[in-house]
Parts: sequence; structure tokens; C-alpha cells
Amino acid sequence: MSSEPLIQIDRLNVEFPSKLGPVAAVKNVSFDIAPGEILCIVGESGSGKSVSSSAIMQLTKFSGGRVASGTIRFRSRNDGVIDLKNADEKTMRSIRGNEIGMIFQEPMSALNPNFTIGWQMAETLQIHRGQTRAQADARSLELLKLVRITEPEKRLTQYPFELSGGMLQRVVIAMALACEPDLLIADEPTTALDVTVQAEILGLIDTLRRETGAAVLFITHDMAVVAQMADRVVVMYQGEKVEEGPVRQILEAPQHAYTKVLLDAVPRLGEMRGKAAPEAMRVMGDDTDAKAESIHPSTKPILTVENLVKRFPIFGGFARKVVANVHAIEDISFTIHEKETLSLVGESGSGKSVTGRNILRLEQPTSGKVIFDGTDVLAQSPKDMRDLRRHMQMIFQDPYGSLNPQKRLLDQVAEPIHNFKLEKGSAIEDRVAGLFDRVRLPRDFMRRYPSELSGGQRQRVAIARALAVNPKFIVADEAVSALDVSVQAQVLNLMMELQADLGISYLFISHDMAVVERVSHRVAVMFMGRIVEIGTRQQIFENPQHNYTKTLLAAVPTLNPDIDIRDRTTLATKIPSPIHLAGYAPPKLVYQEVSEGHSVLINDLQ
Amino acid sequence: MSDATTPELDDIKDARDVNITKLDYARAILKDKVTLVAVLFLAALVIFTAGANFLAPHPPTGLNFLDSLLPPLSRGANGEFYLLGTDELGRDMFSRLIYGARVSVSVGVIGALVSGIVGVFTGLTAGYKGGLYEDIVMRLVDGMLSLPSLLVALFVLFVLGGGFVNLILVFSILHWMVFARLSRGLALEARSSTYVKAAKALGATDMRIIFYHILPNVIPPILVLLTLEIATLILSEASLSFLGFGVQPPDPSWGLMIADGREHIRSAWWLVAFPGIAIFLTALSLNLVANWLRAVTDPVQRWRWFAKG
Amino acid sequence: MAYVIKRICNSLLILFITISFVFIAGRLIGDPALNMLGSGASDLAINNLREAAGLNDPLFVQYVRYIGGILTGDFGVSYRYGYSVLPSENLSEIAQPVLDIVLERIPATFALAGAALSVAVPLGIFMGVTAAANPRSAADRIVTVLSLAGVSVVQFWLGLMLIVLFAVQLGWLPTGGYGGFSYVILPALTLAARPIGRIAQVTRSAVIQELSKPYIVTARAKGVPEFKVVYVHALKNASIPIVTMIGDELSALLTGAILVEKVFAWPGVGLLIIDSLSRSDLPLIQASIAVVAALVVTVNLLVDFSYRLLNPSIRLGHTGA
Repeated sequence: MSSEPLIQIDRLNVEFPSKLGPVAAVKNVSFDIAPGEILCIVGESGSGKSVSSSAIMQLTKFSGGRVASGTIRFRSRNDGVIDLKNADEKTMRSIRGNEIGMIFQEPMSALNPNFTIGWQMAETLQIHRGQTRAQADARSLELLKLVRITEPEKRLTQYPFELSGGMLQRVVIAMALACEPDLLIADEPTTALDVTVQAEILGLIDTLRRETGAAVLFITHDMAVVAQMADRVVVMYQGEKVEEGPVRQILEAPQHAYTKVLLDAVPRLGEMRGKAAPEAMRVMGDDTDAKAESIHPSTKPILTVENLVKRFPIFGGFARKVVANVHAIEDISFTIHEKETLSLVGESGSGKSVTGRNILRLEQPTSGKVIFDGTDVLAQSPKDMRDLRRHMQMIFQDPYGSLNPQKRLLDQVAEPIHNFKLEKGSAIEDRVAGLFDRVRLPRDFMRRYPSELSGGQRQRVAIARALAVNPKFIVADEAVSALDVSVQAQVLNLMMELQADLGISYLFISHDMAVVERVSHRVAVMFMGRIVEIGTRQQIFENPQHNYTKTLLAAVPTLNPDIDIRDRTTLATKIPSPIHLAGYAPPKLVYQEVSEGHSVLINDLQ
Repeated sequence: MSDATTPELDDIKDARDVNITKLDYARAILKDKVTLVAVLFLAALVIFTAGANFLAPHPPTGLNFLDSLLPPLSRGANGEFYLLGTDELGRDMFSRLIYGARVSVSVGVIGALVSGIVGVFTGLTAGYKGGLYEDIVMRLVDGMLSLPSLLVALFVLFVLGGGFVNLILVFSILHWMVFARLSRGLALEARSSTYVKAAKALGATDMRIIFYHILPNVIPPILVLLTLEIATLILSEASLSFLGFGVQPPDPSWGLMIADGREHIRSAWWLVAFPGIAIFLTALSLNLVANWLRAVTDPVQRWRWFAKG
Repeated sequence: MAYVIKRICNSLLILFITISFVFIAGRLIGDPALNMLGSGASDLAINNLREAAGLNDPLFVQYVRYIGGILTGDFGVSYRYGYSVLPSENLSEIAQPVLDIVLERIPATFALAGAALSVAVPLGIFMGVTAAANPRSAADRIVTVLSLAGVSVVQFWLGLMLIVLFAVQLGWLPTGGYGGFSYVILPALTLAARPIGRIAQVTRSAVIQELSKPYIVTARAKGVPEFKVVYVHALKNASIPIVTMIGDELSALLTGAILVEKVFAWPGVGLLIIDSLSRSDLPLIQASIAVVAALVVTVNLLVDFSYRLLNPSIRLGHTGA
């Protein structure tokens, strides 16, 4: 292996047109990648990390971008060292997919929905290798075996919608490897995937680069993923490279302030070991939260859920009869006490969000019982239900979607005050101003529209809105998962502070084990619509009993670069379908109490 | 949720997600010459239609056989100037076009507004409420949309008789479904959006959610459709009047003018040409404006219209 | 399969409602015989026509008889051509079922619609894709203005102008009538203007939308040549809205041809409808509307079924969930 770099990026500048003139998305960024090396570029949204990689492939121009200056020297197999910045379209085509392969964030949308997997894989080989379809199919089969896909022959004839996200990402990887590229660019390849699938894909990429000798440019926002994957790391912030170095040096002795912020803000699984109550997150330069006092819940229940079931009917046939049901949640029971945070944790499709929506009756549960503060929620008339919502609020995942883009923030926060006729006239505005103070947003934001705010600010508005009616209970549905990690810590701290001050109870719905460990008093692990294990935070994290809980905990990437992740490259597993014919009754769930308050599902999903 | 997001777009969000003010829209129009001309044409049309009594050089109905069938740019027996010539009764074509605009444009605008209001109301409520009500509404919409609308209009006008009011009635009956289908789709999309779920969790009533929260967010596509429908109805009015089932003489509508001029088509081409051009330019301007509106309100593509550099 | 049968039943229901509506509405405007023959006709003639056509029976009986006839393919006979005004006979010698009169006209209408679409579909798609591949370029602007012009022009007026130019002034082509290839050119071009515009527009916006999706980035990153990215990857995914639009335009051509057929004296169904309306010949009106409605409903049905061929996830039955 030669020590000459495979690719050398020198003082790269990329611009995008905007209303205010050209905006530099990448500023004077330089880095090299050696053959066979994994270089991670890490940064939050707006850092320019993805733009740098698409500039290498000359793909920025399709989204309006322009490489303003700099060089991208790539050691090509055929043409020697060429500058990809100035390469013509013909040269670029011979490099894309051939000498440089690319993997994308969202496998579900990265493949053309209208062509079979086999057709799309063959296309690469036909273009670059001039193979016939039969030759290409044979090679595709080899590749699918390489990425450890089950039933590879069958996959070739299937369409993307017939495969799971994890399998599709394997297909995309296989496609990128088809022509044995020297460089593989992976742009947030696991961000859209569940944590257990992420572990498999990360292991696979690591294994494959050892098997094929390809260098990898790995782009991510997640420091834990960096720790697992990288040989060397480039940290980017606002279009600039702020720090570069070997992975160990970046993790253990970060130099730049931003790198430290990024590392500090990452909640680390296991760091709450031995502590009974949640604690505030570390936020660099934010001393106001130094009071990190722990919050102790009362023993008075505020919400009791009993045997909650939700099924979504599938209609079919002439008379539009119910032919089958999607069993979204089955037999969910738990209790939340005053001033307590119960977390529902699980992967996509586990039913955790459905549970939250059904408790608030944003959807009508199929059966079960929800008692809130002594009131039977499911027995309320629509009008009484509206009144009850005063006391039960919700914070949604998507801070971009949960605010109405056409309304001023003042009107949005005043919405519940108006609906419940809590104040009149100018008193409304005063109350809203007080809420803005409470969530530490400047009062002049009240006249602004959501599009003028950052994601973290929007989520503060959403919290202010939920607080407007002084609720006793808030469902926080993935409330911080769309936020950058540094912002996430601040919002979580705000939520904990409000709990300490106002005595709010939370149902905290999340897929992120590390965040859950940080904020919860009690935790329920969900899988396939069932709670498989429930207990105090310490019980779940320090003494997990159910296999699924153990898998989930093991899959979470950690900041330790010494862990070998290759053995995680298991075959993609098949998850049982939640769709059952009408009339199907699932077995009654049986839980075993391991210790006081710690129960494990023992008769299903083992 | 949008399915078209990539990490790259995440990186350049700052360049794309700019707040666009009314001033920016005005600037974008000034930069886009074709749309600017269309807007100016429509503005002139509105002014002439409203001020026909003052702005038309001649009365639209006065007979003057001395000046019969004069070509454009000619002078009459008493020295009057006829910009676009005269018809067989010696009436000034330009003035008749201005008065004709009143009929044609108001049929289009009123027809589109009535069907728009009916369609948007039924569509939004059906899409948001769902259930049996939605089923019935959409069954009706699909059924009526699958009928050949020109043919039905012809037949209904044959039964009811032509005329301004009946024309608007027929247009409203035959076009509300277009708005209903669009609005229902928008309401369905909005219903699954987080801001609507949030509004519900915040205790808003259904009617408040539909008309206070959803409606302002779906105005752009509805406005685009409204503009297009005005153009469509102006064209339909011309067709029906040409066949004798629309506006009845002596009301001068553009379609009627083409029908009247047809017998002189070999000798006096301007009788047919100018009303047709008037309809064409009006419809084209409306289409251009709608097209522009659609482009600048499309969240994915709009940045192209405001970006510099 | 259940879906197909359901859709067909739905379509038949729509047809039934249309036919009933036309029958009932047609009787609301007064005595059909009087309308047909005019107030100048003798009482004897009017009575005779009434008697012969069964117009003296209660409306309900007439309706049931009419629907029953339709089920056996009998739409009745034309008042004008079908009945003699002489008292001695009921049906005249030349009595011809209205359905035959309508069906005779179908080939001419089909020929015109086919000619117009065979120009409009390739041209419209080509224009739309070219514009979409280069958004906001000169080509895009030209396509946009041209396609909007096609949609904005009044068809019968365009026909008249083409006649003035190519038939009257230049004398290259006939002014109208039914005959060989030269007779089709002007009406087909007139009719094609609108579908060209609409197909170009829908193609443009659908392809632009597809081009902004992540799978396009994948295709480019694989080294797929740009023309293939646009014409294979994006166009295939854009096919559903395009096919919908082609179906819509075909329906419009089958009915919208009314005006163009009149301007060019093209003996299709449209011209027949205009003639029968102006003569208040109710059986003929009813039959021609029924036939055209049946054609349109069939086109809609075919478009609907084509979705199943175009979209693998519907084709393979992965709907619902």
C-alpha cells in the first residue's frame, strides 16, 4: 500500500446562491485520505460536511452549488492524478460509481421505487464494465452475498418497497461496491436507521473496507459513531474545518472549543450508573444550569394506563370490510406518578408514539383504560375531552412541523389560552410574554414567524405553548431527536428544570437509550407494540432481563474507540409482521416481577 | 413529512430557508419580464372593464351603417378613428371588445369564485372529518369529474336556456369538484401534519382547526387553481356562446363576437381575429400568473426564484 | 380482481345516472314533440308523433320502457328521421335506430382524436422533459410560454384562423369536410394545441419533482449519464401524472371535439350532438350523450387500471397498510 494520499482536498470553497447573494457552505477546507483509511467528517447541520463530499463527486451543481475555488486531487486508476474540480462530465461519469462509490442517508428513498433491485444494481455494472445483464446479475448476486443479505436471489427480482430499511442500506452498499471503488463516501449512512440496524451496518462497513481495501469518507453528526468507525477525524463547524487528528486524540484531548462542546453534549450510556434520579446534561458555557439538583417524584399516581390496545383496520373487498388489523399496540399498562418521568423507549414500529397519541386521545384506542388524575379519559365526551386536554399536553418531535408556518409565535403560544378562554385582551399577550421568559426566549420573538427561528428555538416555543395552560402532564414524543446534539442538551435541561419547578410529569418517548438514561425515573422498553420490560432506570440499565433490552443496550455506539464492531455484522433478521387477519386474538401477555417494580414479559416475543 | 431531504440540503438550509417577504415577491415579479407583462395586461384589463363607460372611445351598440366593416386603423365617414376597425353594423371593435370583456371576465371570475368557495368548503371539511361524509362527497366528486363537462354544460344550458346567470350556475355546478378534490387532498395532508395534531392537543375545535389553522396554509395552491379556473371558464364561456348556448345577444361577449364575425371571415378577418386574441391574451396572462405563483410558493423549488449569485 | 369489478360497477352506475338525468331533464323543458316540430306544425302531426313515440304514456312508463330498451341496445328512433307525419303509418320507411346514427359517427371522431394525440403526446412529453432538465433556462421559458399558449387559445378560434390562413389565403388545405389525409391536418392541429400544452406542463412539473428526490442523486453517483437519469429514472417515476393527463385529454378530445368538428364540418359525434340539440331531437341527443359518456367513462377506467401496471407497489398488491 502506497503512502501517497488517494485524494487530496486543498482549500475547497463551495458556494450556494441565496436571497442575500452567494452563501459559502464550505470555506477553505483541506484534508487528505490515504488508501484504505477511514476518515470521518463530523459536524452538526449547517457544518458543510455533506457538501464537501458531494463536491468531490461534482454533485453540488445539481442542487445549485458551485465550487468557487480549491483543488480536489484524486489518484485515478486510469488517468493518474486529476483535479476533480475541473474534470469534464465524461471523466466524472467514469469516476462516479466506478472509482468512487457513494452511500446515502435514507435507504428507503435512495433507490428508484420503480425498478427492481437487480435492474438498479446491473445498471452500474453495465455502465462501467460493459457487462450484459446476465453477467451483471451474477456479479450482483456475489455482491449481495458480500453484504450478507438473506435470500439474495429473491432480492434481485424485488422492488425497494418490498425490503426493510436495513436491507435496502445493504443493497445500496453493495451497489456502491460493485466496481470495486478505491474510495467509498458514506453520507450519514445510519442516521435514518434503528440503533440495532445501525450497529449491523456500521460493522458491515468496517468489515468490507478491510476485505476490499477501499478507503472510506464517513460523514456523521454522531461522535459515538465516529469513535467506532474512524481512523482519523475532521471536525467541521459552520463550513470550516475546526480540528483534525487521529480519532483517539480527538476523543481524548480535543483542542478546539467546539469539539469539546460536541463531545460534552453527547450523553454517554452508563454514566448515570448508580444514581437514582435524573440529572441535568452538561452544557458548555451554560452555568445557569449548575443547580443540577435531582428531582424526586411523589408516590401519588397522575396517570394510569390499563391494557391499552390500538389496532388500525385494513379494509378490503367489495363492502370495504375489515379484513385485517395492524396491531400497533397490545395490552399496554403502566402508571406515572406526580413529578415523575416515565420513558417509553424502542425502535421504529415499536408503538411508542402510538401509545402517546392514544393516551391523549388524539387517536381513539381500540380498547383499554386511561385514568388521568381520577378521570376516565376514554369515557369523556368530545367536549369534555377538549377541556381535559388543558391538563395533558404534548410536545412533538418535529420542531419544523409542529408550529403553524403561517402564524406569529405570539398567536401560536396564545392558541391554548384562546381555546380554553383563560385570559382576555391584553392579558393574553402578558401571559405569553411570561412564557417566553420562562423558556428563555427573547420577547421580541413573539412577533416573528417560525421560519425565522432555529430548530432549538422552535422547540422552546413548542414547550412554551404546552406550558401555557399549566398542564400537570406532558407527553414528549421524540421531543429532542430532531435537534443537533448541543441544542438537545439545552432543551432537555429546560424540560428537567420545568419539572423541578412546576412539578410536571412526563411521558418521555424516545429511541435514544443514552438520553433516556439521563432523564428518566422509570423506563418501559417497547418492541412490536408490547412493553417487554418495565422498571426503574437503574433496574433497566443496570440489570436488563429481556433479550431485546440487552440487544438494544449493546447496539448503542459508545465513545470508546477500542471496541471491535465487526462481529456485529449479523445477517439481517426478519421481524414478525404486526398485521394479522381480522378476528386474530394475541395471547394474553404474562409478566414476571423480577424485583419490586421491575417486570419482564415472559410469554411472547422471546 | 417531506421525503426529499438529504444531508446536503441540511447543510445549505441557511441558503434555502430564507424568509420571503412581500417585497421579495414584488422584486421577483419585476425580474421576471414575462410574468410582469402578464400582470400589467391583467391590470389594464381590470381598469378597462371597470371604467368601460369612460374609457371606451365609442358606444358599443350605436349603429352607423356608413362605417360598416372598416378595417383596423381606418377613419370613419365623420372622421372617427377606429383602432381595430368596425363590424357590419359600423360599431367600433375596440369599444365592443372592452364591453365584451365585462361579460367574459365577470362570468369567469364569478363562476370560479362561487365554485371555489363551495369546493374548498366541502373539500376541506371532507378531508379533515373523513368517514361517511368524506365517502359521499368524494363519490360525488369522482362521479361528476368523470363526466364530459362541456357536453353536460351544453345539455343543461339547452334545458335551462342560455344567459349570464344560467352560465354561472352551470359553471359552479360543474367546477366545484375541482376545488373539492384539491382541498380534500390538502386537508388530508394537513390532517397528518404535526401542527394540526398540535392544534388538536391544544384544545382547538374542528372548525377552528380547518378554517384558522389549515386554510391559511393551503391558500397558495387554491389561489393557483382559482387563477387557472378563471382562464378555463373564460374559454368555456367563449365556446358555449359561440355555439349559441351561452351569453345571448345583444350582450357583447367575446365568444359571441367571434360567432357573429364568422360569416364575414373571408372579407373582414378582424371581426374574428381580435376577440380571439383578447381571449387568448387574457387566458395566457392568467396562466402565466398562476404558473409563477405556483413556482414561488413551492417550498422545494422556490429558492431558485429568489437566489442571487 | 375485486378492485377491477368494483371499478366497472362504479362506472356503470355513473352511466346509468347520466342517462337517467338526461332523460328526465329532457322532459322538463316541455312537450318533446312540440319542441321538435315547432309551433307551426299541425295538431295532427304533433299528436301523431306523440302517439307513435309513446309520449302519451305516463313519464314513469316511458322511463322504464326507455331503460329497458337500452339494456337490449335499443335507444329508440330519431323524431326527425324516424317517424312519418302521415296518420296511416307509425314508423317511416327510413327509420334508423339512433344508436346506429351515433355509432356511424364514431370512427370520424376517433380518427381526429387519434391524430391529435399522436402529435400531442410525443411532442408534449419531449417539451416537458427538456424544460425540466434545465429549469429556468431559455428552453424552459420557451416551453412554459408555448405550453401555456396552447392551453390559453380558444380552439374553435384557432381553427377559424388556420382556415383563413392555410385554406382561404394560401389555399393549401381544404376548409373542412371529411376526406383523406389533407382533411385531417387542420382539425387535428387545432385539437392538438391544448393537449400539447397540458402534457408538457404536467411532464415538466412531475419530472422536476422527481429530479429533486434522493434516488436521483444515487443514480448520478453511480455514473449514470444525465440523459438517462432524466429519461429513464425520472420519467418512469413521473409516468402516473402524465398518463392521467393523457387520459384526461383523450376524454376532452372525445367531447371537446364538438366545436372543432363544427368549425371544420367534420362529421363526428360532436357535430351530431350540435345538430340534434339545435333540432331538439331528444332520442338522438340522449343516445349521443350516452355514447360519449360511455367512451369517457371507459377512458377513465383504462387510466385507472394503467396505474396498476405503472406502479409496482400497487401491482404487487402492497396497498393499504
